Amino acid sequence: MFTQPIGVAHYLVVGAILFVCGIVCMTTKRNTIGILMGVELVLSAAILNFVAFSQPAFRVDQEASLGIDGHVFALFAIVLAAAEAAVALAIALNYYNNHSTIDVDRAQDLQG
Amino acid sequence: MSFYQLIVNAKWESWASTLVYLPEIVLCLTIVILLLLRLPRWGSRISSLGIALVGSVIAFVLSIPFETTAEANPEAATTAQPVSLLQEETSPNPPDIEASSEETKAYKQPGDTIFSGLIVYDGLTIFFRQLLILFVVALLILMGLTGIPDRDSGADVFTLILGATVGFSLMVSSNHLLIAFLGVEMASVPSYVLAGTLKGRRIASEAALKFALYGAGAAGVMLYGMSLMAGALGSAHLPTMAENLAQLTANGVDDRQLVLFLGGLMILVGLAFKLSAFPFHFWCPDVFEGATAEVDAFLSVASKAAAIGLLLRFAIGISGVPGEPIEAPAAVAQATSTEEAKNTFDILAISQTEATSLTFAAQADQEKTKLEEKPVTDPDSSVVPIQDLIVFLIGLMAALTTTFGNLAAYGQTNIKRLMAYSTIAHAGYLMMPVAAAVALLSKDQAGAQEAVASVVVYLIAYFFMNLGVFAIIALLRNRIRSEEIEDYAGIVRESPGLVVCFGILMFSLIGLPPLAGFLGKFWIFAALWEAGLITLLFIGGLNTFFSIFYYLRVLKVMVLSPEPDHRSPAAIPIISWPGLYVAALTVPVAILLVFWEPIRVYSLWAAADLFQ
Amino acid sequence: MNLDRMLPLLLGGAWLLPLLAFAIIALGGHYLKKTSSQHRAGFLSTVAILGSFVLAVVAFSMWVSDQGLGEPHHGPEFERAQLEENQTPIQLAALAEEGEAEHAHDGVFSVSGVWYIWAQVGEQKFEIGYYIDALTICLFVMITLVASCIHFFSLGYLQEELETGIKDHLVATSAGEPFERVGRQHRFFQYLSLFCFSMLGLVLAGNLLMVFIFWELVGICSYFLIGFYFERKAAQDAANKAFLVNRIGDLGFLVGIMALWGVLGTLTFGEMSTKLAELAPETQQQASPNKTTIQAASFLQDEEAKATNDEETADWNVGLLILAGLGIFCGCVGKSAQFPLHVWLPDAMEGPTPVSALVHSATMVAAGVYLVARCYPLFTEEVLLVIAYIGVITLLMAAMMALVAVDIKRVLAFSTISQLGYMMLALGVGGWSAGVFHLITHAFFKSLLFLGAGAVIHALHHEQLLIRMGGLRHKMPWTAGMMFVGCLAIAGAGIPGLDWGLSGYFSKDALLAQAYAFAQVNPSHVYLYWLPLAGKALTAFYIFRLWYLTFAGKPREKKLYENAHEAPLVMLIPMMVLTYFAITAGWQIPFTPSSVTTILEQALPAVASFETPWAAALNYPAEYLSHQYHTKIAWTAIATAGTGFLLATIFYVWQGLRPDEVQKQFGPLFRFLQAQLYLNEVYHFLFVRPLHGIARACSWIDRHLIDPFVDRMAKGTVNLARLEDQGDRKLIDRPIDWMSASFYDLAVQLKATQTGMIRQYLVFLVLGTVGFFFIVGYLWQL
Repeated sequence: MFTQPIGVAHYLVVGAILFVCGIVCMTTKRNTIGILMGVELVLSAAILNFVAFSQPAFRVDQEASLGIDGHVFALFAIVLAAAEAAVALAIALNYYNNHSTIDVDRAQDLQG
Repeated sequence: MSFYQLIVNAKWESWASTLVYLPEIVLCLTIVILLLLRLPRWGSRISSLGIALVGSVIAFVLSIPFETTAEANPEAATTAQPVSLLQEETSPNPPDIEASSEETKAYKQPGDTIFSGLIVYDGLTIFFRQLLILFVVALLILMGLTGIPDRDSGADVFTLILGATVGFSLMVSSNHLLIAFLGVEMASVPSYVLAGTLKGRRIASEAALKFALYGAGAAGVMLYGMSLMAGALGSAHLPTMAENLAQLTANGVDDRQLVLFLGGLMILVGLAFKLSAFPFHFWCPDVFEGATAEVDAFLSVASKAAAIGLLLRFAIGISGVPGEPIEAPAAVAQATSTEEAKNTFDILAISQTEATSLTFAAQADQEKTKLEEKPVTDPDSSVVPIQDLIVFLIGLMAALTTTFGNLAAYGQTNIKRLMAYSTIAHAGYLMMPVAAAVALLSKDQAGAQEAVASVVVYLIAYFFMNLGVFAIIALLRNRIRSEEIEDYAGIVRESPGLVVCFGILMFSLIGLPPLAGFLGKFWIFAALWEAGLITLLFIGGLNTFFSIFYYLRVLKVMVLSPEPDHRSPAAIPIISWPGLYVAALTVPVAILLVFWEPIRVYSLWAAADLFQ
Repeated sequence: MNLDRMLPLLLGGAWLLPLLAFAIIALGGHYLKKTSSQHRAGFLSTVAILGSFVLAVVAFSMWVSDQGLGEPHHGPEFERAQLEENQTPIQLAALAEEGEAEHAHDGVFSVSGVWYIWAQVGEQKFEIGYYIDALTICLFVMITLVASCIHFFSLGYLQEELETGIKDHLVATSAGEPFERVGRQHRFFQYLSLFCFSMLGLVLAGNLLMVFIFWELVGICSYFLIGFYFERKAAQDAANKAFLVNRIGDLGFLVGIMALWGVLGTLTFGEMSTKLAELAPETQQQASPNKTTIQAASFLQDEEAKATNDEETADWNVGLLILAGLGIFCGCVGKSAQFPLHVWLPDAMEGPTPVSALVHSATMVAAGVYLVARCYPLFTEEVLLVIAYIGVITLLMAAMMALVAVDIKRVLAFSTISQLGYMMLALGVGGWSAGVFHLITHAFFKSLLFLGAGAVIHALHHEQLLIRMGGLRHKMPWTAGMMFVGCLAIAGAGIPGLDWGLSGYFSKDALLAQAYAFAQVNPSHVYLYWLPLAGKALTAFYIFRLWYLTFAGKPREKKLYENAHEAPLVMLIPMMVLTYFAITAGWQIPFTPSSVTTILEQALPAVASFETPWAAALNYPAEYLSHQYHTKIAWTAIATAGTGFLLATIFYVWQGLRPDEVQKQFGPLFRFLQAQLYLNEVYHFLFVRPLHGIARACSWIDRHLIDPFVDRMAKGTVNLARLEDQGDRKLIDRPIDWMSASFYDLAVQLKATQTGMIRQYLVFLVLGTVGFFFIVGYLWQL
């Protein structure tokens, strides 16, 4: 892989690594913001994938690529990620106001 | 196509699409008005509930489809094939707008796609849209009766509700992965905030946090899956994807299988999150317990309905296009090998070896014989293995979901938590006919249509049942300030009418005849039987049996247990606005069985356009 | 005036009016029960029966204007016959035939029809219909008249039933003190009205089944009325006895009806003569209807038998006909208290005296006689003979029992039985109109006698024993006088030379004349004449004994005598009415040559008597032919009656012979008679005791065989149920409980997966994805 010219596959691998990092971050962080960072990583991986798939130059056959759809999708995804992050942060703030902490492990009132 | 023609097409497309999209636009306008009312000082004197109600009622009225006669539209006549800016030219057009017919249309009819293929406007859309907006109207009435939210935060809450509704309607009418994702996000994010209304309460904020974090994670996974799938299939437009998939499977793809499978699975994860399917349900009990009962109603009905609509669109959309038969995969492969060679990636090179093809074919055969099989009426389609896979996946998930939901509800002490598990279980029931529909796609289109129709019927019943239950919970909470089941003891002596309605709703949730729940369950089980998914049918029946216990336990506490001494008076007479509201929700549950035929006809109509 | 339309309407209305009264009293009894309003019941009842009487009279006048009063058979032929006294009856019969044409009738005129068909089985219809002829009309008038009088009488007699605290000394109470009860006059009139309705219906009935229905109805009314003082054991027993004995007769009646239906195929009176004629086609149909002479009869044959010359069928028909006749007569034996079913009538005197007057002397007991008269064409010679002999036995036996009875009402009861025997005898020997005429006259004077007795009883505050009465003519002159007239009537007092007498004179005479004629023509049955004649002497004796003991002589109980008083007007006036009719019923109707007899003769059945294989040829002299013996019989009868009268006077007025000495001398005979011939004891031994034995046996079986069996079965079921319960608990409940417990544990464990930690949730998100990937991938062998 490292010897071939850069193609879609390479982008995909980077995306995959980002994805895994994001997942690990999501699941292991105790900090709310940390979890959100992981989420952002995951979303970034997806966006990267989209952009990768819409590069005609990286495809052997141009017609089979996502084309402009990919780019547009990526833009939308960025916006949505941002919006989601904003809301999530607001919720985290609300949580902090009530619990005086952003440690997610302390949020165990609701269980069973 | 010249640029001019493109613009012309685009203009007509936008105009016609906007006309059809009016309900959502009205909802958006309502949101804008609600937000803008904050600005002037006199804005706070206007009731935001009223504005929201008016807006939703107008939206509902606009969502009723109208028959239009074709007007001569010279511009439309010249459009042979309206082309999507995002679409490839080789993609097939929706058959309705083909210029093969001489008559020209000025308006979009049910069955068309609007906004150049992004959104589909068919019977199912109409049904879901009406269901959702009607639900919003009912919910707004409930919120007016219970007084939550109060005046200050009213505008915010209604904005969020209406916004989420727009998102839901996007979800159910999506024809494109982008719209699907957009809808999911647009629906979820306001839901996170809604879960956290009543800012002063601790568990509300905790619930909102859990919801937001979990939802964001699931959305991320879903987006990643979408990216994989869109890339592997070369398009994000569902029909195009389906065709590409069909071609791919017809030609015996194997390398892209992994990617496709993973992508599909991840998309399913996101959908499962919305549906609160096992094992992606963990947010559900916590969120339901933390949020207010009105928001719970919203989440449990509207959210699930939209999610199941999206699942239907996705599952049937992706596997609905029949591929070519794979009797002579080698020959086909030979013929198209040159073209296929262009389609290969470096790493995902399709090896057109016969071995793989045969392996794939052999696998397909094996899988076919593994499942409980019925005679295949249609010729073997290459996409049947995909369908079988989807059936298995969804079926497995459905079985696990219902069983888990029903069993875990046994030990609950909080009524909202109990209803959360009940919602989980019902989501499982709702997923079963989806599996059945996909299973019948190649064999019996009429059966598949009936399976989708059964979803519609179940949702109609579910609407009344769940809204009724949560309404009663909300009204009782206002009186006795508690949501613990033990605090409901002996309420029958104070509010007998309410308890009777509650009893009817509980029995309907169990699915006992002659109530509406039975109607829904019956059609679902009928669809399962038609599809031959006997295991799933058995599990469904078993779970109905399981569910009797916890539903009736609440009723038993309400009726038989002695009243606790320290409870506030909880008399809600049935002749009062709240009582009449609950009765108005209970009566359809009780008498829906009478309208068996009309409902059946309606649901079949709603499901028809999926199978064109 | 259309008789066909008006008669059914009038008589139907007369029939239903008492029913209306009954219904109103029965339904509104509660309202009428208030003491002050009980009058209303009585008034209502009386008004109803008076209305019936009015309607009956109107119907009678319509009948008379249409049909005339009938013509006597005392025309020239009779005078001619008188001249030739020595001619045999056969010759007389020949003479009669010569004079046929002048008296030819078209047959009995009757109006019959159907009101309502209440069932139809195949061809057979069960109807409510009517058959109205002269007999019906006369009886209607008589019954309503007598009933009206008695209603009035009862208003006075039952005055005390209006109070609330009536003490009844004849009721046995546990503590021994007198029994006190509320008065129930309205009940009395309720039953009385029902009785009138039933009796009138019986007379009006158009077919035998309807007769049977009303037969039973009068029986029930009799039961209620006898048992009016139902707290007394004697009254209960008497009512039961009356009903049961009647029932035995009714059994025979039913058999007779069935046999009749088998033979004729119809039960309707209007069709009977036609059907009978069909049975015997060769009998003379052109015979004069007013003759019961022999016809030149052939064997009883139906068409088929004639064709095949089969005598067996003919015999079968004859047998059935005889059976029918005997069966119907059996019912009459029960209802009209003939030997051997007479035992209930003396005991029936337990009821109030008006009841005895109306039911047990004038009407119900006359129903039997009426039925015999109505079914007259059916009876073959054997049956008629049986009827005659039973009548004779009854009249003699009852007269002897009346000689020694000490209760005033008992005497009259035996007298009734005896007179009924006379009527049966008359009918049996061919004296149809004589028998029916005696029925009518007997109704008048017997009810008069009973009402008089009632007045006496009322005056003496319910003292009924003759030996405690005496000398009451000073205290109750009117009653005494009227009763004397009644006694004269029943004895048949009259002046033969002038051919003037009381009603009893004419009827008894006709009766005896017919019996004499019969005896003349059929010499083997001569006792059928001598015995009634002897009975006449006995009748005179016992009836004047009654009168002397009650009204003549010195009072035997001073206290009773002191308190006695004349009867109130409401009781006297009905008696006067009845006295008038007792005197005049036999006279000619002024300005006409007719009398009651001639009216009755309009209904004389056009009979074709059958010559049957068994009976010797019996000649039945025509009635009008027996009139020639009228004078001779009259003198003989008066002589006999006078003997009886003389004897009674000797015994009780002139004290020539002492009754107690005679008693001692004829001790065994006396005891035999006083115990009513020990018939009650015989019946008790023959029937009642075996029945009790059977009942005891059944009870034993029930208690010792059936009950233990049932108990054991019940116990077995209970044990089985217990076993099932055990099985249910151990075999079924435990597994289910175990299953539900294990599910619950599973559920609780599942609940534990929800830990509340968001990180865990996210981990499960990933794990879920990976898990599904591997599971499905494994299964799909990717």
